[in-house]
Amino acid sequence: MKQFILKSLSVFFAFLLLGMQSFAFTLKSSNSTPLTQNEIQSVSEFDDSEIYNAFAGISDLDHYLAINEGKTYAEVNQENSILLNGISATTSMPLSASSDNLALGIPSFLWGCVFGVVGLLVVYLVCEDKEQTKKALWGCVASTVVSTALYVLVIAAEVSTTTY
Amino acid sequence: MMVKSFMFLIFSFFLFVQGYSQNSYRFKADITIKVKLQDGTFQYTKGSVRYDRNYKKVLYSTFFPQKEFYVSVDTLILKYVNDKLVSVQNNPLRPELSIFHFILNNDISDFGLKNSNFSITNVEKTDDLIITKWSPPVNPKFPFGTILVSTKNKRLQSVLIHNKKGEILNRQIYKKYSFINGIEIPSEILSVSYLAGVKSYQIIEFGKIQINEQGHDSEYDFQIAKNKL
Repeated sequence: MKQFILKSLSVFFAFLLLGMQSFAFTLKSSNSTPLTQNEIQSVSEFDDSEIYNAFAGISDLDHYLAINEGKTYAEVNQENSILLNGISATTSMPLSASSDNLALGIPSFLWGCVFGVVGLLVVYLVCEDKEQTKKALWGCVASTVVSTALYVLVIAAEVSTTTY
Repeated sequence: MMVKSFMFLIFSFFLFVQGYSQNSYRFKADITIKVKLQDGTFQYTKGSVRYDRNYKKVLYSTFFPQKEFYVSVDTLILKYVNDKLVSVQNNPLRPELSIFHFILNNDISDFGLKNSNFSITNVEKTDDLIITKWSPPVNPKFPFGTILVSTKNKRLQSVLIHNKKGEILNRQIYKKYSFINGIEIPSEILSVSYLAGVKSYQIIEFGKIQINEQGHDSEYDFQIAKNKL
């Protein structure tokens, strides 16, 4: 009987462990802030055709470059300049807010596309207010460094106390 | 005995699946970035991107509008034009925080927020979406508000970033997933930004995605010193 219970518990915990790796769990805390209906709708009911339609005007260029791989702006300008109406000659910046701002002097496209969520936030920092957001950025970095250092100290203290 | 054997097989299967996806270490793709700015003009960039998480360098090569080459390594961004180094800039972010690193780790479903200062404050399930609300750290000077991340079948679907007033700053939508080498990869990212009541749009497309391309090590481990003038 005892063995049966132990085996059953082992199987149960094994499936629980595997299940936790596969499914999301709802996390509730004392600071839980429920989603409003507006928030849910803004996520679930957004029509992405708005974004596709915004680029209807450059579909010809899109098609041309898909066929003529490797063409530069200058080459296209020589061959078919009409395709470049309204097209800037500067590099695009993925997931950035503005084409002209450089976050800490670094092209915004690298912030957004290359550096993920942190990069995106940095770009917005720069576009809102340069001085304040630069300070905020360095503040985040500094707080992360301090938190990490404190964490390491706490762990080191715990390890040293358990040694004796 | 049979139960033990069966359990062993199940364990082995799940470990194999996880291990298989964790063997993805190299990302390569053609990239197209289309931007519509607030003033109605467009920017269009085409090129390719490479990243190897062992070398930790993101290499971004464009041919349209110009032929330029960017290397992100450690805390530096290097820009090359015609194989000549034209600028070197410092940056506090590392390639390990790039979307490519998250993709190779099969870890984009939370938009990288679990390793940030944000914390989950609510999760809602609606129809086929799971919407997670991430709240910023308690700091009056922190300029951002909540971030809503939605997933569908464990795939990142959309991200909404708000300011402190609850206004949307940016919306991103991840689409056209491919399942390559055991990992889910979005090949299209749509984005709309809201600034001062005016919208700007972006579409990022990945094409010819390759995971773990063999050979061509020098193209992933760009030797900076040799190309420096």
